[in-house]
Amino acid sequence: MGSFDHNSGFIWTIVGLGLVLPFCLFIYVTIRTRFEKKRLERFEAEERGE
Amino acid sequence: MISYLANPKRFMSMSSWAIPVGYGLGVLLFAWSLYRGLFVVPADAAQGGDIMRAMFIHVPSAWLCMGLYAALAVSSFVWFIWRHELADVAARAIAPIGAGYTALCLATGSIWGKPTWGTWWLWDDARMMSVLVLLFLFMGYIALRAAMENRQKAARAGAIVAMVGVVNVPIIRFSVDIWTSLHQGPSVLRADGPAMADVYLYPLLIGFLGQALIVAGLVMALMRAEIYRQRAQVLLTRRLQEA
Repeated sequence: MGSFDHNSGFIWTIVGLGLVLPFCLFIYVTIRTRFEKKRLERFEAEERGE
Repeated sequence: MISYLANPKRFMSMSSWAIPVGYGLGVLLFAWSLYRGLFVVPADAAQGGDIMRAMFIHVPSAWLCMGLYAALAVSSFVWFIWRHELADVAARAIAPIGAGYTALCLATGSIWGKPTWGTWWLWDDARMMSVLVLLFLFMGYIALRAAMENRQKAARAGAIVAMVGVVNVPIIRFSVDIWTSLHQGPSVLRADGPAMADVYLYPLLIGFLGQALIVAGLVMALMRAEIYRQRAQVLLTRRLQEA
């Protein structure tokens, strides 16, 4: 951790938000993509009568 | 290039390698920029000391949320004029990512504002209010699409909102020149060149490029999810018609 002036709490909060948001979006996007892909694969398997 | 990729099969093939490349390169550039911004560049006393390091998160998020709205409007325009389905898929994928980055811009701006200006928020600040309107436009777009009973109606209503709302992007850009604002005037995109010292400018631009690559990866991944969903919907509809 860097040593900043009296505003270090504000700086680290901003940095934390800047890291958390892309990470949360990445988790959301990954879960959504996997869910939709598995759903499609299930329907396609049912179409083929598996 | 765009018309070549505007084919779902080609897009699926291209995005399967472009997404991990975007994420990987984006994370590297963003991490380098953040390291430089936090630990290497000197604090600027004229900008309030160390708090100016917030710039390396806040400014890229501000540029990205405006860029994402412009991309939403362009995709909507392409769908509206040429009815290209992949353009609608792109618009639908851009909206939640854009809303997230607009919320990030507002939150980090508010936190930066407290030690710099002594306030979290000002209702009569043109820049803050126009970015808040941008968040409402993204959320309104998502809510409007969700409220429509079929995809064509949702795409049409969403496209109109997106195209009308794009007027807010230049308003955000020029708000500090036209109205009163606590924000300083433009320091990077200026007719007479950037007013910012190179030691801050290069990490800022590279951080923006890194975050833009991450966002491109997120949008493409959500587009893939939407294409899977639409293909599943076709199978489901066919099955219901046969039953």
